[in-house]
Amino acid sequence: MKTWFIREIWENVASLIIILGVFMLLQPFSMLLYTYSFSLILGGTLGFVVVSHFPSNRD
Amino acid sequence: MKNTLSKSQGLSDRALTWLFVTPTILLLLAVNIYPLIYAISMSFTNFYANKPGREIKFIGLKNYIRILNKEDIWETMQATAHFMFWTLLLQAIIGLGLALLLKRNFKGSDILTTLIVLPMMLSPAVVAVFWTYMYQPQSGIFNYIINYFFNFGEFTMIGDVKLAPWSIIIVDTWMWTPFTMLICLAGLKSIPNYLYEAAEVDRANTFQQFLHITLPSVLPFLLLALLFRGIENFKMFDLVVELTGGGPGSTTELASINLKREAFEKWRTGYSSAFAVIMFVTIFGLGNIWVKVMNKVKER
Amino acid sequence: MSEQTIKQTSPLEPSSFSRKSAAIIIIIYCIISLIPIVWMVMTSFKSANDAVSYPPLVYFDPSLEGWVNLFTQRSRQSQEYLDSLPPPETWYEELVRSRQMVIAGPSRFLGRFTNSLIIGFGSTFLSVFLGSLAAYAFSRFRIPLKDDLLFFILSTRMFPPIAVAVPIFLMYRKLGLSDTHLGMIILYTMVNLSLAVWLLKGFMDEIPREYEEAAMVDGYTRFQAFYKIVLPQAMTGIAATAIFCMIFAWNEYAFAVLLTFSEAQTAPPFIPTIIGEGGLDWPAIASGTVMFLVPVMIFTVVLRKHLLRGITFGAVRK
Repeated sequence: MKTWFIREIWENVASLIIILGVFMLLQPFSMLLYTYSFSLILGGTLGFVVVSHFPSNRD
Repeated sequence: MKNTLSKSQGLSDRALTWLFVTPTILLLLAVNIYPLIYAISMSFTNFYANKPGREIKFIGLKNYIRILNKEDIWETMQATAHFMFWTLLLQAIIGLGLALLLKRNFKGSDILTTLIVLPMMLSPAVVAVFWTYMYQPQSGIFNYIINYFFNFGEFTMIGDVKLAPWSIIIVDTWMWTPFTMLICLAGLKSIPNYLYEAAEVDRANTFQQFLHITLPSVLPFLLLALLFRGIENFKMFDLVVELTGGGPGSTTELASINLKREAFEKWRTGYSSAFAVIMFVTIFGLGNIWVKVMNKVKER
Repeated sequence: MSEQTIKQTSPLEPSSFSRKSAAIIIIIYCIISLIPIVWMVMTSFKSANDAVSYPPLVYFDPSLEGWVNLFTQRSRQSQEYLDSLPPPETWYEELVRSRQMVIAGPSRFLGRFTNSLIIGFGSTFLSVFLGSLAAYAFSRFRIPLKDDLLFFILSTRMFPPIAVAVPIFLMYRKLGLSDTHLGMIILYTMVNLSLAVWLLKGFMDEIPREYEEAAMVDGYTRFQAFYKIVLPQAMTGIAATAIFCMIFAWNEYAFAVLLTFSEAQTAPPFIPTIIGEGGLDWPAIASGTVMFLVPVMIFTVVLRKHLLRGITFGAVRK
């Protein structure tokens, strides 16, 4: 069970979500992607704050 | 841990901790967090700061929905993206290139590094004003030099719809390439010599050495520099406002310039607060990633 | 033979040819990137006509017109009026009269420049003072949620100024702080504090704890140890941090343009508004720019060893 809460992995996941959201915010291709970009950024950021309190696998 | 030593003398460490940290935290709470919470709460209303008598209504997520469905704002985001993409690309290539050259440690490289760094430390707004002078179609030195080499005939950087986005990219690249260069240089200097020595024993050629040793070691540093510049250019304001003011039309109207218009010219406070919150959350998210990269770099 | 060819291309010991070609490319880049700065200084010594001539003049008769215009307000007068005046007493009056004008009074530039100085020094002092206290605590003591607090402090630096400007504007309006020196000092202190705390924590982490512990064995209190041992040791770091804070406050534009109008306006929003006859007075703007930027350039040269640390929040140390 403990292995599920490794900080490094989840931080990478959250980072990817944020980066995807930022890409959607800034891309010039689809209005729809732009519309939903902020939800992704917000979710990723809040997620990052939560998962960065998981124990690190180096401890 | 070391408390035992001081327990009997003067203030306890615990008291001292609070004494030392509290002023900073309080000041940041008052001038930073309070305004932020204020902005968040305003973003759910239809508040206009220039109409004090008007009733303030709670309108839920309407501001956010409107911003995220508005073509104009999407366009300012695209202008920002165009600006970010080219500045980061150019600064990465030129900065890394300069760092690789400077690493060869020739005589006088210290003085040259200091000279190259100068533009970065200057006030962007003040520098931008001066660049508008250098961009003058006739008397401007920039246009003169370009025409001397390429002979385009008369052209104007700032007034032209196609060229204006490039006028800001050029100035930003001129200012901030040294930043990427400095950080890449620090990355290059952190590579231990024995890696190259081992590679030479293995008969790896220069290109292979670059690909397998130099590039992987310098990449986190480059990422750190680009993330930082990315955040800065996402919220870019001073340089562009003084250089083009968002024009011509709205070709160089970056997100924060649009935000300034909504907030301080149209006074749509609630609406612009929602916009501000969107920008803030984006930067906060990127900032988290930045700190992560920073910790990785620090371990070296 | 083969050993030698390897040596020549090695990144460890570049050949003299590769060194020389690197030096040449760097020098070329350096010259290109310095053109705007050199041009700025040259323009500040041009006359108004020379500044807008085509093609741009590299050789010109130096004139102090720009500098005189920067510090004075002038009004155009008829030739008869000028003839009726007593002969000019000073060289700058003579210069202004030769342009068919008389000096009407000092310009507002010096006041704006002084505002920049007051706000810059005030906020630098405050942020270094508060920053070194907090940095010491973060460096030496156990603080609950230390990493979160540090990130919180750092993240305040990343706030886009425009995003917090609206609520700060409303708040300052209510408190009567808008367009005052105090208000701007508090604002810049807030922005600089995060840099100060992060940088100073790095510097203090490098000072061995043993020094303080030895002092405390000798009967110093913790506070005395901080004050008499750590602070003097961290002096270089504190000075570097102070200069960084000063440069930020000096260069800041977004808050200044939104929150100050006259009383506390700093130089960056003022310089673009220097207007001469028929548009912007470029030599005067160039003079103001030079006067404003030269101190920063001097500091940059002085600071070069700490530069990297300062601009990366201590992430990269040399």
